Amino acid sequence: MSTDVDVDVDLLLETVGDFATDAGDRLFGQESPDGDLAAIDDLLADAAGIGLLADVDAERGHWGVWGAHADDEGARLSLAVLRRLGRVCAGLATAVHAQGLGVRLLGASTPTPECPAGTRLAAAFCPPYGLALDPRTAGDGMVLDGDRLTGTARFALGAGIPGAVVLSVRATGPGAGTDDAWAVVCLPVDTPGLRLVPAGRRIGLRATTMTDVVADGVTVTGDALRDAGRPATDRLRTTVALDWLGQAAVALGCAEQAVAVARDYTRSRVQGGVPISEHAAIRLLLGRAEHDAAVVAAVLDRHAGTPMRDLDPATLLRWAVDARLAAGEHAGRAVTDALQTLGGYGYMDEYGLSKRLRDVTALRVLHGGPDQLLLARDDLGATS
Amino acid sequence: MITSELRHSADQLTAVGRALYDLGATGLWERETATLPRPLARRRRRYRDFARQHLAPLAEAADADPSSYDPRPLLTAAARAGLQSEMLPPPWGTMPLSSLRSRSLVHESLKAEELTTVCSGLALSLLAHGLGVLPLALSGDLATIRRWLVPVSRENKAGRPRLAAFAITEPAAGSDVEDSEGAAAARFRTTARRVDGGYVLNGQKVFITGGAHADLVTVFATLEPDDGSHGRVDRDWTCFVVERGTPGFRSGRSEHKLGQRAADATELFLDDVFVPTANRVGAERSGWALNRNVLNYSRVPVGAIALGIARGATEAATDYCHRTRLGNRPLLSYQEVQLTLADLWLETMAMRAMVWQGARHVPPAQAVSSAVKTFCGDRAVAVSTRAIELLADDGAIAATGVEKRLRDGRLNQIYEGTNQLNRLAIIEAQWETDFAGPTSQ
Repeated sequence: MSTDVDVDVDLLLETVGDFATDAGDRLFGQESPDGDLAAIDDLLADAAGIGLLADVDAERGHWGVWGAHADDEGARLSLAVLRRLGRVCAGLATAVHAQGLGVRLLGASTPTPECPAGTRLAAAFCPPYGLALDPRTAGDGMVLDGDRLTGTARFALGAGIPGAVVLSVRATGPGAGTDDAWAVVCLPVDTPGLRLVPAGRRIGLRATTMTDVVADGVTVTGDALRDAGRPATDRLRTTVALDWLGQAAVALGCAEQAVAVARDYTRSRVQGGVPISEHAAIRLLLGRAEHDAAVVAAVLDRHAGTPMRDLDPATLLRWAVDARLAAGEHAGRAVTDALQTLGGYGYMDEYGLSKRLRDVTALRVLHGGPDQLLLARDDLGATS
Repeated sequence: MITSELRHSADQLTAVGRALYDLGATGLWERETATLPRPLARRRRRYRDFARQHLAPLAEAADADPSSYDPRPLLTAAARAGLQSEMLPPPWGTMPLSSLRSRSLVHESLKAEELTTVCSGLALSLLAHGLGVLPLALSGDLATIRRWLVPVSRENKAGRPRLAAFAITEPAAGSDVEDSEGAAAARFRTTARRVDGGYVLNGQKVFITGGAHADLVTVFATLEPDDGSHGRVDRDWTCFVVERGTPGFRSGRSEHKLGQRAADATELFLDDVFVPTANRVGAERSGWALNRNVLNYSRVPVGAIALGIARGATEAATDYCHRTRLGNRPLLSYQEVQLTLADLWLETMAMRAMVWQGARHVPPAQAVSSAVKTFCGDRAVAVSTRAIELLADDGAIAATGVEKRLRDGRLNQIYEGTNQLNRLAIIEAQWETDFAGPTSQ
C-alpha cells in the first residue's frame, strides 16, 4: 500500500527520469567532450520548474534535492535523484546538488530582498587546502572579524550563474579557535568587495559552476549574517556531510551508466571470432565494475531511509565519509574498468566514457582528498 | 635538516667510514644519471634540456586545444637536435656507433622519459616517428633501409623533418593485431592486391599517431592469397611504405581524446592506392612477424613514456606541496603528505628500474617488453591518481599540472595492446619454457 508520500516520490522519480532523458538529448545531441554547456542554464530552469532544485523558500523547494523533505523522509530521494542525473551528466547533477547545499547551509530561512525565492546559490566552505572541519585549517580561508569579512573560500559550487553566495566562515571574538567559532553569511554576488573568481580549467564536472570566493573587507550587516556559534557549526557539519553523500550518489550514477555503455559495446565488438563479452579478460573487468557499483550503492543505503532530524551529526558525517571514500575508490574503478573494455574507443570522446572518467576523478577529490577524509574518519571513531 | 645532522654525526667516523657513506646532497635524478655510462648520461641531460626548452612552453596550450598550436617548429627543432635520426649511426644518423647494437633501446627509453616528463602529448608527436621507421630497420632488408630509412634519417639529421607513422589498427580490429590467438580470426579490412609493378592497397586505418603530419606511413595490409581465399593477418600480412601525396591515400579526422592530446590520432584511408614493389618492406607475408617484433622494440620505450608521465605527476605534486600551506606550516611538513610523496617517488624509481633493466635485453624479448609496458602503464595511472588525491581539489585543476598526467597515462594501459593483452603476451612468449610444466631442479 502506498502512502501519499510514496506517490509523491514515485511521481517525482518518474519526472526525474523524463527530465534526465531530455537533458541527455539536449546536452549530447552532438559529439562534444562536455556536451553543450550553453544548455545548462535552461536545464536548471527546467529542473527548478519540476521541483528538483531546493530553494530559499522552503515550501517552494520542499521536494528539491536536499530540500526540507529530507528532514522527515531521509536522504533517499535526494540520493536517488542525483544518482539518476549522474547517469546522464555528473556536472549537471552536481549543479542541482550545489543548490541544495546552499539552501542547507543557509538553514531554515525565509526569502529576503537580497536573496529572494528562486535565487541560485553557490555554497562556499573550503579553506585553500584541507577540510573546513579540520582544526589545523584555523586561520586559513575566510574570516569574519567583527563585521568585516576577508579572505578566500575556495571551490564554491554553484547551480549555474549564482545570484548569491552562502559562506561558512570562521569568526573571531568569543569562542575563536574552538569548534563553535563559525558563522554563516549570505551575500548577493554583487556585494562591494566580494569577487567570484573562476576556479580555472578542470578535469571534469564542467557543467557545474566552480569559483573561488574572495572577500576584500566586505562589511557584513543586517540579514547577511544568518547564524553564528554552535548552530552555524552544526549547519556546516550537515552541509559537508550532505555534500559528500551527494557526490557519492552522482559518482554511482556515473559508474552505472559507464558499465551499461561498456556492456552494450562488448556485445557488438568481435575479437578472435567471438564477441568480446565472452572473453574472460572483459568479463573480469565488467564483473568487478558491477561489484564496485554495488559496494557504493550499499554504503549509500545505510541511513538513506532515516529522517535526517534523527541522525546525530557524527553518525551523519561517518556515513558521508564512508560513502565518499567508497565512491572515490569503487565508482572510480568501475568507470575506468568500463573504459578499458572499449580499448581505444573508450579513450576517445565518442562513447562518453572518457568524460565519465574525468567527472568521476573530479568527484574523487571534490571538497577533500581521500587522506583528508580518512583523517576525519579517524576523528569520528567507530560506526557503532 | 636531517641530512645536515647526519653529516655532523658522520664527522665522527673514520675517514674510511666516511668514504663508505653517501652523504652527498644530490637529487635522485642526478644520482640515477650517475649510474649510466658517460655517453648515456650526457644524452639524458640533452633530452631533459631539450624538453624544458622546447616542450614546456607549448605543453599547456597544446593540451587545452591541440588544434591551436603549430607542431612544425617543434618538429624542426627536434630534427635539428638529432632526436629524429637516432635509428642510424653517422654519417646517416645521430646514434653513436657504440650504442647501435646494445643501447638503442636505452637511448629511446631515456628520450621517452625526459620528453614525457614535460608533456607526453608533445613527446608522442616526436616519438611516433621512431615507431614509424622501426619496420624499415627491423625488416633487415638492406634495399628497404637504403631506399627509405637512410634518406629519411639524413633529412632529419639535416634539420628538415621528414616523418613516418606506423599504421596497424583498423576500425574493427584493435588489440587483435597484437594477439597471436586472435589474429587468425581478426576482422582486418585493409588488403593488398598484386598487380604489374607493385600492389594496390585498399582499406582504412584508425588512431594512427602522427598520421596527420607523416610524410610516409608504414602500412600493414593483408596480401590477397593466390588461391582466392580470404587473407589472414597471421599468414598474409605485409608491410608497405605509403607516401603522402600518393593518389588514393588521404588522412581523415583526428580523434578527440582524453589525453596525450597534442599528438594526433588520425584516420587514414586507402582507396586503390598503387605502390611500386620497391615500397614493400621486407618479404611478402612477413608482416605479422615484423609487426610483433616492432612491438617488442617499442613497448620498452612505451613503458618509459608511462615512467615520464608518473615522474611529471610526482614532480608537480612535490612542487605543489612546497608552495602550499596548511595552517601555519608548509604542506610538505605533514606526515601524511610525506607518506604519499614517498610513495610517488618510490613507485617512479621502481618503474625506472624496470625500464632500464628491460632496455638491456638485446634483442628485446616479448615477455620482458610486455611486462615493462604493462607494469609501467598501470603504475603511471596509480601514481597520477594518487598525486591528484594528494592535491585534493587542486588536483582537479589543470593549472597544477597533475590531472593531465592521469588523462595522459590512461592511454598507456590501452595503446600498443591493452594491458590485458600484454599480460597474455607474457604467457604466450614463455609458454614453452617457464609455463611448460614443473620446473626441473
